[in-house]
Amino acid sequence: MKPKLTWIFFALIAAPLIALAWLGYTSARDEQQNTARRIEALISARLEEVGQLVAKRMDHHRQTLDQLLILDDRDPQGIRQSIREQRLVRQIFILDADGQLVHPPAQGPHNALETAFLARTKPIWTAKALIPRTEDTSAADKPDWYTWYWGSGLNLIYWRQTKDKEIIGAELDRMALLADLIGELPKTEPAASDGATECVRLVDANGRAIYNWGNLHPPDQTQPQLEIALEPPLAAWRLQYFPSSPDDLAGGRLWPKITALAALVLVVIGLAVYFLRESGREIREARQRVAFVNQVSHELKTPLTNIRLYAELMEDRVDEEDEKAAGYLHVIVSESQRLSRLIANVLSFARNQRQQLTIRRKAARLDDAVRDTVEQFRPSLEAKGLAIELETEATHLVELDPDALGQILGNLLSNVEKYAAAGKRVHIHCRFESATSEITVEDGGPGIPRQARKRVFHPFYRLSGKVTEGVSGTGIGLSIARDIARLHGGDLTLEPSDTGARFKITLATPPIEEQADEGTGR
Amino acid sequence: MKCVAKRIAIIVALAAVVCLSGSAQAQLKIAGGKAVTPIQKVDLNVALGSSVMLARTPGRAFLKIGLTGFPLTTPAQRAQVNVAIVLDRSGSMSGEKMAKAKDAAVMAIDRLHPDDIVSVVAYNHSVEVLVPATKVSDRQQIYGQIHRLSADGNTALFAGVSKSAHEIRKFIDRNRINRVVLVSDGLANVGPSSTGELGALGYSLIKEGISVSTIGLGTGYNEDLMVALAKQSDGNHAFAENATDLRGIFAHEFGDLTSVVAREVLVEIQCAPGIRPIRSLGRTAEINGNRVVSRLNQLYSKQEKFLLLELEVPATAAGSQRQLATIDVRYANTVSKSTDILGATASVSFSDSHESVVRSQNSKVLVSSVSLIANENNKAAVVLRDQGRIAEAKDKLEQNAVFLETSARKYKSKKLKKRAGANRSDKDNLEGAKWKSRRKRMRGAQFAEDQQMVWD
Repeated sequence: MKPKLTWIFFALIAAPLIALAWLGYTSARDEQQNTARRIEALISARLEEVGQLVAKRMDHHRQTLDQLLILDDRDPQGIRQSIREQRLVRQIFILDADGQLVHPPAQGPHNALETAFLARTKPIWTAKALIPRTEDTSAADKPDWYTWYWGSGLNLIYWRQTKDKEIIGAELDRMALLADLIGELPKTEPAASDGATECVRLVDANGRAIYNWGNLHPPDQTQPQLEIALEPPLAAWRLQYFPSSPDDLAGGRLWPKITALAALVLVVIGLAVYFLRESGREIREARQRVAFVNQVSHELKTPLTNIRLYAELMEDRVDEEDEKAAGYLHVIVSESQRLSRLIANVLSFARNQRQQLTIRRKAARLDDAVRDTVEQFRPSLEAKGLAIELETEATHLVELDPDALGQILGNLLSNVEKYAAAGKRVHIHCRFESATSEITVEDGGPGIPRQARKRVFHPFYRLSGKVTEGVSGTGIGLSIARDIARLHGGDLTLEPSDTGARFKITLATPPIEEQADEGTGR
Repeated sequence: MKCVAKRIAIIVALAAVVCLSGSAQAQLKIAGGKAVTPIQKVDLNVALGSSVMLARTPGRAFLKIGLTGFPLTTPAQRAQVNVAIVLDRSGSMSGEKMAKAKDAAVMAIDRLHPDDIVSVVAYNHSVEVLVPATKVSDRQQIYGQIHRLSADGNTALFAGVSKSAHEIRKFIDRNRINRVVLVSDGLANVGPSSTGELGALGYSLIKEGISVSTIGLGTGYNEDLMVALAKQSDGNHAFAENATDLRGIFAHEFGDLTSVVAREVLVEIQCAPGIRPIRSLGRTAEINGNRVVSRLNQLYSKQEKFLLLELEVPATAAGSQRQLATIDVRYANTVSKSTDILGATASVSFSDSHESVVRSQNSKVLVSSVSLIANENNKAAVVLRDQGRIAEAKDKLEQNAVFLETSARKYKSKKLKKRAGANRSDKDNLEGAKWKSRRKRMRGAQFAEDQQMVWD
């Protein structure tokens, strides 16, 4: 019983819970993945926005430089004055159509800044790197950026070719540009009250941080969650995004859900186990009770048999005249018969519980067995004013357990006596056909309501209402009767009928070939 | 006009051959009284180390171009300031340093007028703008923001200064004094962090008229970087060995800041043909052939700032006279709100007589020259010490002390004598635990000498 219950418990509670947990987990994971994707798109958009900010600023500088590079005044002092005033400009240079330097003047004198400029840009002049893309002079005037790496990073030159095929360019001061962009980029806001932190970082071509903003300070070597490159000419620089913790997006919101789900599963399993244990205890207790009753019944059985035996012996001996004594003895006999049926039922029920109820078939005739039982009941039935109509058509010798049949039939007749006395009659009909014996018991009583038809066979079920009021009963009679019938390869069913209750007993009773001394069996 | 001025000057100076013609002075003298000088101008004083040079031999001349800020008669005359206080809030600043820095900042802002502009920026690995550029009117709100500051993390010095410059730019104005005051106790380690890079930042900021004053706190900061940033942007630099020094330093800094009388001072020296400028001692100057340009972001009231040029003069016949250079100075007068232009020329005569050369010597110019040359020697000693050549550094400092002592006797200069003592003291502190702090002291003193920063 117990392992079965465990399996039921598992099937009913654990399995759905596990399924639920799995579903919950997968849906939460999907949702979280979607959220992560959404957030990533959001961050990406934010980085792009910052990238646009930088691009816009570079456009602004480009416009300033466009103005500067018109350079109407070619006087070296004027150019030097411009450089002193333009914070983003480190140096201005002019190349003539042959690629020779006009400014800083090739023949000198150079100031310290110009000398340094010529030294660091030497590769550009020797490689003639600033070559217009086209010979078309109209397109040639379009200014362009030139990037090169010198010193500790990216350097920018903004240059254009004039109609006279001169090249005028400005070298940007990298530090001034950096300072300018840092000024334009967002600042770090005071730490938010909800503790949400992040870090956005601008890194140069070598991966070195130029500028951070956001309250988070990611440890060294931390990989960014997301990274985008800036637009040319600063394409070597990248914007990186660092969330406050790696699973801020990956699992941060998933764990609480899983935990909640796990807690729920645990609570339900805990409850289930509690009830299982409780019911197990009840079953144990019930079993103990049954065992006790069984024990008691056993103990009662022997004295009762003796009482019946001596009462019946006494009945034979008592004086015909002494009606009073005969009457008393009759009551003793019938009451002890009732008690032994009850005990038989209890014992059968207990055996059935232990699956020890067995059928002991022997050669017998159905009619005889039925008649024996009916005769036993006759006095008490007739005492209640019930007319017994017995129809016997099964005379064939069959393999039958007469005790079992007696118990089934006894239960039915006992019910008739208890509940259907008002019907004034009971009709019993037995017949045999192709290895099956069939007995119907029909009364004229109040019958059984339609909705209770199935449940009357359940153990301990008793019909409520007028009929059962004031009548004692254990509620196991029909149940045990049907179990026995089923053990006997048949069934006990409640047949539809117009009035009263009509029970049908079927039993598997293989026929036995009649011997020569057929008659002596009776 | 110039001719008249010249003649008057010649008469006044009698035997002097050198002609100084600061136009402001000339006008004053013509007017003959101070009562009728409602418009005050910066005093330009051009002088040579000696106005007579030995003839028939190539020589060197020291040309000193001094600019002295006029006194402010009332506090209301001072120009409005636009100042950004940048506080290092990296982990090393925690505790007393942070507390004293906050105190000093609050005290400094207390001195400002309600119309002045202030912003407060704090940086560690990132930059927080505690107080965006605003008028000083709501002091309590500003102080509240400063007091909420706590220290942790790294040192993004470049970004901190960049962001403060951005705040300054919001209210940048010809008539305001733009200044970043930076307090740092650590090594810059986020973003550009080299001396050259921070120097370049300073150089780009002075183009906008923004100076950065740097205050190094404790012995953990990079003094070369802090000096470069201040020098390139014409700010001040100070070494605060203890956090308790910050109050005094801030008082000096804001004292300077609120006594500016001239802004964007451009000094241009056009040397006569044949005269070659060799170098500028102390201040940085751009030498384009025989044309020298130097820029001072501001002049403070009653303080003299000067440019000292070493010129190469070719051999010239005795008895002749030669014009060495014409000097043009242009600046924005913060009191009159006008652009003033000053001019002067420097000439020298030649003689065979050593005596007349010595007689013509201007001891003030020569003391400045000696002082700046000795300053270069002091810098060279630091370089030697940095290379681990301690013995050579000691020799250098000893020689320098002797040179200063000799000169001090010659020109009867207490200042040079004091410098000689300082060099001896430096010599004794090149090793051991004191070196770290001594190096900062030396770099601070070198900076002060170069920039004529007089805070003592």
